[in-house]
Amino acid sequence: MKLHIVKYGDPVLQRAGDEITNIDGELVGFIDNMFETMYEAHGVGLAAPQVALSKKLFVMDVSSGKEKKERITCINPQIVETKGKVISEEGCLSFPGIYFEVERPEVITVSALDLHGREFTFEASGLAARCVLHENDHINGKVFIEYLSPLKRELVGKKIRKRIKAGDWDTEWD
Amino acid sequence: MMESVSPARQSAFEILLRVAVDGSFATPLLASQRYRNLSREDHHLLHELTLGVLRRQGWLDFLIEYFADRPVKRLDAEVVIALRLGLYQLQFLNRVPAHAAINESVNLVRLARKKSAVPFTNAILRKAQRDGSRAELALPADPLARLSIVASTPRWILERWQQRWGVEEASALAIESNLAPNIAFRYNEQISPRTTTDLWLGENGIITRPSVLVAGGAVIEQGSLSPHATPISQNWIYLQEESSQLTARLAIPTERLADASGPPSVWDVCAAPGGKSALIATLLPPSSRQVATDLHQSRLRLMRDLFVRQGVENIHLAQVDLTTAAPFAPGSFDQILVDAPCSGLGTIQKNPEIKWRMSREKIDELATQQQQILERASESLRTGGLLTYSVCSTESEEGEEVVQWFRDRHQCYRDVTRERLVEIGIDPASLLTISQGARTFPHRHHTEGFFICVLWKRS
Ligand SMILES: [Zn+2]
Repeated sequence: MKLHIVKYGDPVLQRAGDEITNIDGELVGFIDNMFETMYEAHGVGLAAPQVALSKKLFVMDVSSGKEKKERITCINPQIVETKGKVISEEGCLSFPGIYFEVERPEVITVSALDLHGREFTFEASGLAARCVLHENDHINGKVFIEYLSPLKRELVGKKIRKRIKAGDWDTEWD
Repeated sequence: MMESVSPARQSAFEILLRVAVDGSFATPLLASQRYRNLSREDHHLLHELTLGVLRRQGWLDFLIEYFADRPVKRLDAEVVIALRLGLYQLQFLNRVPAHAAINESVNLVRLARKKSAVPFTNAILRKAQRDGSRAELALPADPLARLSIVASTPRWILERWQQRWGVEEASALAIESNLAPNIAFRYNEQISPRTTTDLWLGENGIITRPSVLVAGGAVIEQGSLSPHATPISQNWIYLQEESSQLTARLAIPTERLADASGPPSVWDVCAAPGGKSALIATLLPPSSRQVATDLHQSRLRLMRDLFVRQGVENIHLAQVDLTTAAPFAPGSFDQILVDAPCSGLGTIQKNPEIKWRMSREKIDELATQQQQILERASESLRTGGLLTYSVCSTESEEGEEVVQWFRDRHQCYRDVTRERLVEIGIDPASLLTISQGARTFPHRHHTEGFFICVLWKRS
């Protein structure tokens, strides 16, 4: 089932998610729905708060469904180590049509729980590292416009307010 | 997180850039491995964007020049393609929201490292979104110049069409040439009876009609077949243009074979990709001698694969360059089929880039080559045999005039296209031209623009 993706302006996006203590069938079903929602929206990553579930959970697939092994679910993740810096453009499913450059670490090590509650650790770089960091921000209540300078942030804010006025953004935003 | 451009638009941009810069054709690129992993929806959008932009390029460039107030030639290829993609979505794809069309084109320009052109791209697309209809007021008054922009067809092509058939026919042909082509196929009744195939197609929501041009053929009117669909993967049907099926059936007078002395011999001169030879093989008795040749070794390999798949492995293959010498002894064949390399101006629906690439000079060059191939090939035909010449071009230089040139040199050939059409059960009235052979047109027959002439070599 496809879930509704909340847009910037919804308070759930600014709240840190809770730790997950129980991985049950219901959660596994929900994660399936998150993948479906992400693929349909052409995303490469989706965090639980973006579908209104305030928990520490995200899914990602930087191959956009082309490679099974790229399908990753992270529960209660931790960024263990980061190396380097790289600037690249990214977008967010909660900010449709808005893209800008963000500086992030280049290589990272992540540990998280999988669907069976087992801990796993992996190293990521490139788009995968960027995606983990972007989604990890979401589950900690942080969105990517917070990386912008105040001036640029104001410009993006203006753009969004215009879109809200035009009925082209489905959350109220002050 | 999202990558900043959706996969369908990113892929369309990539393909259009290759078409513009290195002269590739879009249709084979769209079918290539690289894009096979896109979702069904993305693949559909990719096709629509790529071919749509090429079909409407004249109109889209007019809009760019109107809103940018400078010639397209002076802009970078990446910027022009991103603008064409954005404008195409704004004007022709209602289901794409305007902000998505604009933002993604702007991001394409940025990702192509043309940062300085980002504000320009954004400004042009926003202007076009706001008052796109105002551009129409700037259309030239001259009817042909206007048609050239509105129907996205170079003026020199419209001029020659108008000279031959008048302005209304020229306009109808240009407009129809901007539509997606019908997909045609032929039933392979040796593998699956027609009724079984039709039942499967009906159950899967695919609506077809029997071809009016060729027996055993059909046209898909609604729905689409993936290459993995049972009828294709199990060889119940073969996707094949109606014109290609018609050529094969006209070239081989199976209804006369019974009277002939011994099994017939057939040479398909420019045989790749092999569809015609494969069909001919199913029409001939097993003891026949059949040869398929082509100029390019790589295409021979593809043909071999096709013949194996279609279970017609009795065809001899050879690489032959007819511009140098005739490869077979005089009088070696009962039937020779010359489907000559041509401008492809009859296949604009499928290959829209052709209209932007072709020129009068290239047509003349092709005509000379076509004469040479026909002349050389004909040397291997026995007296009493049939020589069939065809091209998928609307232009008379490549069709009627090549045949006229050939017949002026060889008085022993008679045009029997009319008789052959009647023999295979087709009413020749709508297909015959005033001079030689027969023609089909997209706007009249809803298939590609095609010329064919069957010549009989008398003693
Ligand atoms: Zn996001």
